[in-house]
Amino acid sequence: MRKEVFANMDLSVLPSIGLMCFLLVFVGILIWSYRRGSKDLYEEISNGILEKEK
Amino acid sequence: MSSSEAYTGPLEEFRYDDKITKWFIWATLLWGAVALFLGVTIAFQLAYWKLNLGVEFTTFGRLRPLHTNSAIFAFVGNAIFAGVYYSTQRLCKTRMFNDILSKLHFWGWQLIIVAAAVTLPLGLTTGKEYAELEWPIDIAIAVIWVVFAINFFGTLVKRREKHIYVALWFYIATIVTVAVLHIVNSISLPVSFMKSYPVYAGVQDALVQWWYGHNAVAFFLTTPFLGIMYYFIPKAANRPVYSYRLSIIHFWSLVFIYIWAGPHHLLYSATPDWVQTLGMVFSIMLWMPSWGGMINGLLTLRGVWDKVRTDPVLKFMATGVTFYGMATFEGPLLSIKSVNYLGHFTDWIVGHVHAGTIGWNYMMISGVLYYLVPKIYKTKLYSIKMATAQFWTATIGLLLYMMSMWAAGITQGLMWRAVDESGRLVYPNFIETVVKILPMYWVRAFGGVLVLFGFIVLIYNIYMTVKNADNSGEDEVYAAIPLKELKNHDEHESGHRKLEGMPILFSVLSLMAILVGSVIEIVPSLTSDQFVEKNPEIKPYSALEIAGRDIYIKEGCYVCHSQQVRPQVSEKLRYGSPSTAAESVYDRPFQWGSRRIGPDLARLGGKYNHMWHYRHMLDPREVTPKSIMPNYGWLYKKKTNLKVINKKLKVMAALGVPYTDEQIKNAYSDAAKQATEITKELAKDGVQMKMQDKQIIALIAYLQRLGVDKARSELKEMK
Repeated sequence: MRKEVFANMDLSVLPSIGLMCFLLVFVGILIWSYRRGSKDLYEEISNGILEKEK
Repeated sequence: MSSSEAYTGPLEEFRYDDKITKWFIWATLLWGAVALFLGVTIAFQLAYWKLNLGVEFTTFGRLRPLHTNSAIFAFVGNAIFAGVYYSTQRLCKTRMFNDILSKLHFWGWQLIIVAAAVTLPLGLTTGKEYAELEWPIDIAIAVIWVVFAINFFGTLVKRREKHIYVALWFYIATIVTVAVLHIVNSISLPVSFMKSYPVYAGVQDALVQWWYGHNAVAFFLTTPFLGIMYYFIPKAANRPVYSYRLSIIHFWSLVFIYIWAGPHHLLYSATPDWVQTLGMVFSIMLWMPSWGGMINGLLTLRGVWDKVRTDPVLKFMATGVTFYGMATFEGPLLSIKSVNYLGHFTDWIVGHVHAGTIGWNYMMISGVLYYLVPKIYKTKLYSIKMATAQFWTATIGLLLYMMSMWAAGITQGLMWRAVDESGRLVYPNFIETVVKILPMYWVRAFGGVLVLFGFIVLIYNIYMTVKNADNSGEDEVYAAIPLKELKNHDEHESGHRKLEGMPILFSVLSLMAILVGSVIEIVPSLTSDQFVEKNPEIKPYSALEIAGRDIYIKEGCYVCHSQQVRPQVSEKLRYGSPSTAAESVYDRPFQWGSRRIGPDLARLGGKYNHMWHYRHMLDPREVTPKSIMPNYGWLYKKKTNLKVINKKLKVMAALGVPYTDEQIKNAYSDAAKQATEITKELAKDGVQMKMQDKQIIALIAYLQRLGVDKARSELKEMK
């Protein structure tokens, strides 16, 4: 069954699927990273490692 | 108000384990010197062949894998562990999960390096680039990597910091992906204690190998150092990372895209076009996250550029990140098919690789060492002047290296493909193209000496720093809020921060990001027949040819010779018909190669008579004046090991090679018979019949088989 599927499948469609996957992931990350309130949070995090160790 | 500011309860006290960081630092210094010395040695061997010394253990074919393995896994590997152990503890505000696991990791890794240093010069190799170590060592690597993973993830779980800082994401991606790459690429069936055959063959093996090979660059030489960059540059500059948001986009884009780029090592090969297109397109897309990361690293230095002139840590790191940008510009450029046709198999690729390993890894490691040693030994660097001297010798050495390899690579690439107006090759004799670039080999070797000299200066500087330190004091005690208290105080988090608070979920998502590309690229090749056209003329190797092929692999012939003719006019004129997937169907491992220091051998069979090969291997200059290939005198003294030939065929049959029971049973006698026939031919020219059991005969049998089936198939088609 699996072999038949692969034998009849046009594999050249895979690069397009790959690109679509990446586009979705990229747009998702972009929207995620610009969510409301994220700016203050990122500032806190990036300054965090500079805190003096106690 | 942050959770830490709101908390007023008791703090937990703890100590960092800096002893393990110190061990990894000393190991980095030791193996760094060894790796660079080996690099310089083989660079001189290419410039002056006599430096192969006529000894089997010191030939280029055996030392080059030792150089690459020691540079990647010993030098860079130990430096990664030093950086990871130091920064992870501080970012998690806790000691490593388990001191015994830390020690086991250290000593296990050093033992693996020693095993590599012993086995590779002995010729015990799988013949797969950057994955040459045989199966018992592969198992040891997997076990020690799991030890490291348990220790690392255990530390994340017991951390006293809610947030997992961006550097740790890169460490997570490294640990998860390297485990997947190593295990999948190393699956093989053992023949004996130090010999195995991969479960993949031909095109499949090529795809899996370069998926591994390219991502060894991505997830061993790049992602851990990006983690190191995101920790050490802000710490050294005392500035927050330029854009934390960019670091999020950088991380997910890089991890997602990198895994797809492997097939750019197989452009114009017998792999399907769609795989090549995929590799090329995703490689070009890598420009985006790579430069995003570089910009983020460099702009972190905004406002402190004056310190880059005086502070050795920032000087090395700023240079490292700059070279990272250059190397990651050049990589996608070389992945464009038409550029790749010029650059592939030439020294341009070698120059590109060293722009990464010396420009990025060596520079970043130097910066990390100059940061770490004074910190953990609680002292000042012995000499800033020495660090500056090292910086300049290394930088000038690297520039000489890169520029000479650019010149050599582009020169040779253009000479290979030069065709005159009558349609003939302008440089039909391959050796002409080698002789032309020999001066560049001397320049490269001199550049390497400067890089090595700089590293020796660094070792002395570090040694004196430690010597002058007061080592009598106890480890400092730190205090932090317990993790469970942080959780209680910060219930209403959302988004990425919540995700970052869950290391296991974060790791699973990272794993998924790399698996998408891996599955789409590799699974079809393992399950579909579309990759390999049917050709009944392609037959399995004879028993003696298998023995000869193993000698070919043992001597590392693949580091200088390809077996893949590209579908281009100049290639056809020089070598013959382009390679097809069917031709490699019984090749375990595939031997397509990545560099042509000598000519391609895919169409070698029948091109010369047995005596030509006999004389060539004894002294290449007898038949090819000015050749830079070493002499292989020991092949005429050592007997071919046919003791396990039956088992070799049996293992091949178990992997799917259609050997009959009779062929397996008669493997020894068939091999002896073929050896006698070849020696009889040689005897007509004066070779003694007692040579029939020597390795040279088996090697000739293999070399004379290359491309013969394909030629027969073409002949039939013409009829």
